[in-house]
Amino acid sequence: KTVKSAKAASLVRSLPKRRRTYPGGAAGRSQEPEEPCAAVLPRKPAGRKCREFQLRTQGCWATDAAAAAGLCGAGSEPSVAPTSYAGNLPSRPLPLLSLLLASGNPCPWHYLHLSGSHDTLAPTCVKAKLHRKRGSLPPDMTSALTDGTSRAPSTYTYTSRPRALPCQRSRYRDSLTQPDEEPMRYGNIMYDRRVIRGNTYALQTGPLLGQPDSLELQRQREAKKRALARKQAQEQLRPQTPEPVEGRKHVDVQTELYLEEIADRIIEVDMECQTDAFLDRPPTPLFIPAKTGKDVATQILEGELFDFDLEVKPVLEVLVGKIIEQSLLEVMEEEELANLRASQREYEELRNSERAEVQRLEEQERRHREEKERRKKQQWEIVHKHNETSQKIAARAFAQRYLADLLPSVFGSLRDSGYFYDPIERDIEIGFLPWLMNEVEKTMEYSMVGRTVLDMLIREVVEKRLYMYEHKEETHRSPEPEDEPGGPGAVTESLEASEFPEQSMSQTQGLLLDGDYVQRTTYDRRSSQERKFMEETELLEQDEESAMRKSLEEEELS
Amino acid sequence: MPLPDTMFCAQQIHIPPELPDILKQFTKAAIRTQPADVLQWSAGYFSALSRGDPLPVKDRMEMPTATQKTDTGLTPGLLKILHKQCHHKQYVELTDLEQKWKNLCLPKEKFKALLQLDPCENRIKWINFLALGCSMLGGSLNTALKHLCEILTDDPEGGPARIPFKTFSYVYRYLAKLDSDVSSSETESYLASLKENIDTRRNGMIGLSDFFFPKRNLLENRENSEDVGH
Repeated sequence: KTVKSAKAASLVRSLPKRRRTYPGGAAGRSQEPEEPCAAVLPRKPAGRKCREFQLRTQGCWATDAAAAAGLCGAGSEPSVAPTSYAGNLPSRPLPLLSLLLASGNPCPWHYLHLSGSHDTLAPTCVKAKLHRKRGSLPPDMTSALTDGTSRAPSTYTYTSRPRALPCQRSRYRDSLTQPDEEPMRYGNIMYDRRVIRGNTYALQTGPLLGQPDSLELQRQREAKKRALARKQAQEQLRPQTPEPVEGRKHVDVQTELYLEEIADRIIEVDMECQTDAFLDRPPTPLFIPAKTGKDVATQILEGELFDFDLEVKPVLEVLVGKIIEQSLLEVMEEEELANLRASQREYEELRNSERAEVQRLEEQERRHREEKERRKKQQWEIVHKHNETSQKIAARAFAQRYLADLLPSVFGSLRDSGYFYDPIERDIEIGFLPWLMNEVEKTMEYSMVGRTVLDMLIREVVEKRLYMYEHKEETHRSPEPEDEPGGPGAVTESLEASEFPEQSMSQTQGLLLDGDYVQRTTYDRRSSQERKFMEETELLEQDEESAMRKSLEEEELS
Repeated sequence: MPLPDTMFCAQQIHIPPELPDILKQFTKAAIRTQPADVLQWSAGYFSALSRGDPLPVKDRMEMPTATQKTDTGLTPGLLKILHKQCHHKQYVELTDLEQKWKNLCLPKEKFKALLQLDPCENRIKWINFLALGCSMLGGSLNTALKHLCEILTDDPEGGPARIPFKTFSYVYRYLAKLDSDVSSSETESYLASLKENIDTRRNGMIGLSDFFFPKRNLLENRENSEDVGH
């Protein structure tokens, strides 16, 4: 609704503008402003806005802002549904009328300021125009309507916007603290001087303390008033009506056709009041409700109020009943528990005895088993031994048989080897026979030696003879008889030949222990002379050998 | 606190704090013991309680079987009560015993009959009386001894009811002496065989398992006991 009021306001505002643009034909143009304004409304929402902003020196900013927004919205309306405007003709005036009527509620300031602003801006002309407009409204309606319809059938326009007649009679005094003094800005209460911010306990109480400063207060108030008046006067000094002629006074006179009640005279009445000094609040008296009812008395005789047996009965019932119940329960519980435990123990007993039995049996079993094991082992050992024994026996028998003829063969072989000997025989064999042989050999040796010697002698002789023969000087001697004694002497010539025979001689002498031997050797020598003479060279060799043997024997003997 | 002169409401009735406990114990004892004559037994109970003697209360509840017509009314539980009450002294006065017998609501004739088995003057050795009671409970010597074991043992119920062998042998001899069927030589041999079995354990206690097998008869018991005890 404020939207529409703002619309109206804008219309109203636009009026003077239009007036300015079209200075001439003021009377005839009274109808027009409705149209162009109305026409302007839908077409130039932006322009309208700026007009509003321009005019926004006074008035209610809050509502104006809303109005602006609303107007934009409102302005868009007609563009949305232009064709419907013709049909909306009758409806349009009504909302505007209601809006205008309602305009007083949302923001009285707004409306008043509007009028006020217009007063200040161009008070006389605007008011006159307004008045004129108002006066001319009813007859112009129809013509405006028709004009409107003829002009722009698409947009709905008013020739005269229906609005409530403003009451010029201000019911309330204009506050001293006018917005002239404190320019009102819209919106923010944070910056509103009327709102107390900060500590409330630290506020200056000021005049409350100083009561007798009422005079001062009054003085201050008067001073303020004077200041205000001065300011107002200064404002009033701007082009206004000229000063009255001497002896006359300016009086506001209503010059319209229809007189109006002047309602802006404020009825002033002085009233006074006085209060006593502050007293402490007395304590509230105790509230004792008024006595209501009647007092009545009665008498109780002994035994009437309380009968023991009767009273005690419930107690007893409870006591006895509870006791019996409880004891019964407890007995049953105990009984049950005892039964349980008894059966448990019985079972355990049984189990123990059975376990003992089982253990015994197990023990028995174990012993049997061990016994069996032992017996088996024993048996096995016996069998084993038996086997071994039989094997041994068999082996022995076999060995015996195998080696049966070992002994005879052994003995035989030993005998054959000559391990079994007759000691005497042995002794004879070992001792006697070698000796004998030795002796035999020796004897034979002797003879051999003899022979050899003889041969040597012969050889020597022969050689000598030969030598002598050759030389024919030497005397020959018969070596035979001087063989033995002249042996050594004859041999001294040849060293080799002499040594051996010498030795042999000595040997033969040594060895000639037995005469038989000597005999034999000489005999042997003689027999073999002839033989040996042939084998001189061989004999020499043999002699050497035998000489060696002899030397060995000699060594043995020695 | 004595009742005030004028009591106004039920809340002023004062109940002694010990009372509920006493009553509860009494009730439980009564339920467990199931005396035939509650008053008689209660008198006995409270007099024992006031004296500080062991109470004539069964430890375990034995439901009195309704078919008991010809027996003494004596049950192992009752015997156990008597034992509990009397065992601290070796000799028991007959009058005292009789009183206790009565408190258990047992018939007096049976008491007399019991005493006739082994007559004595004013007092009787408690163990003898117990043995007689046990013999009254069961038919055979073995069952009597079984009951005796169960009564005398310290082991918990159901467990191996063990008693010292000395006691056992004493009672056995005593009962065998009274019983004319069993000769003394048999007794001795039996005891000797049992003793062998027990000596291996070295604690001198004989238990139920050593001599009692519920489903077999005496001869088998002897053989089995010999077999078992290695």
